[in-house]
Amino acid sequence: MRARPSRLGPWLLRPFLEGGEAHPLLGDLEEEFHTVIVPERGVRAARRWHLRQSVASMAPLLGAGIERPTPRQWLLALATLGALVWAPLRCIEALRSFVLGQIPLKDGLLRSPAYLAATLVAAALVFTVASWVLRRDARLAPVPTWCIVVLAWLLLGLVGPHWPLSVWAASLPVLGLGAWVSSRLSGARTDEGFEGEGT
Amino acid sequence: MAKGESLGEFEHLVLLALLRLGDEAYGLAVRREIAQRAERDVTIGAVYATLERLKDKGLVRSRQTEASEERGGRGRRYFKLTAEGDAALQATHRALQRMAQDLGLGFSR
Repeated sequence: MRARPSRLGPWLLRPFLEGGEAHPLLGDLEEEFHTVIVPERGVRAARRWHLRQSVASMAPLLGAGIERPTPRQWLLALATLGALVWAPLRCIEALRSFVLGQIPLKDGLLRSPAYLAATLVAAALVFTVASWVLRRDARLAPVPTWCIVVLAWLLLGLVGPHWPLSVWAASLPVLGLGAWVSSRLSGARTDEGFEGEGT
Repeated sequence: MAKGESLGEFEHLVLLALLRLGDEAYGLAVRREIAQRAERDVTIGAVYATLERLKDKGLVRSRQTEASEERGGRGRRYFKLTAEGDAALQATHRALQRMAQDLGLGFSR
């Protein structure tokens, strides 16, 4: 029976390819799998190669697609990046609420400043990475993003004046560093000529 | 050549691979040509991303062939340089030669 490559690779790449499953890129991968890699390295190693190629191809294809963004690609990038950070935070929050709900007198306890700080920094990171991935069309995105984050930070301070001063002091360098990284990343996208490269 | 019209290093390699491969230039062949001659193990995704960008710039054109069993029921997409692509390649080479001139690299002689 003829060896087949893993189905996971094409499944991962399909969202980035116009025409989906019928795209010639997937055909090229399969052709190389059958004609070169399987004879040279055997079926198991060839399957690993196929999966590695697929995973490594996602970044340049996403980048190429986002250069000419369609609404679907914007949503895809934002949803992926958002889910990567937001979902774990939501899970931790749900677990925390459940645990505290089981302890008498602890239900409704205020969130610790560290938790709020982590949430805000994570949200800022999501926007920074998203703006970097979305490239040219969102080159200025870090500026309003960080404005929103700082504003949210100040509003939370008004709502929760019990925060110790040290939390505020510690948060400023983090925000500053994030804003600097954000501006560097978005500025780097203005360079032409070396985009789409990757191994 | 204005900024934005110039070729990046990888775009340059891909266009040269297309020239070398002639009528046999499709994604897999381009990837292998670059791997063998430039000794760069690039992904097929990087090759296609670059080819699509070159196509958007009008530097290459493509045609699709019939599906085949060996390729899981998918066709090949062959790429070819356009006249603009040929001109961009030559302009890049001339720029590189001018930059390397008199540096003793043995590049322009």
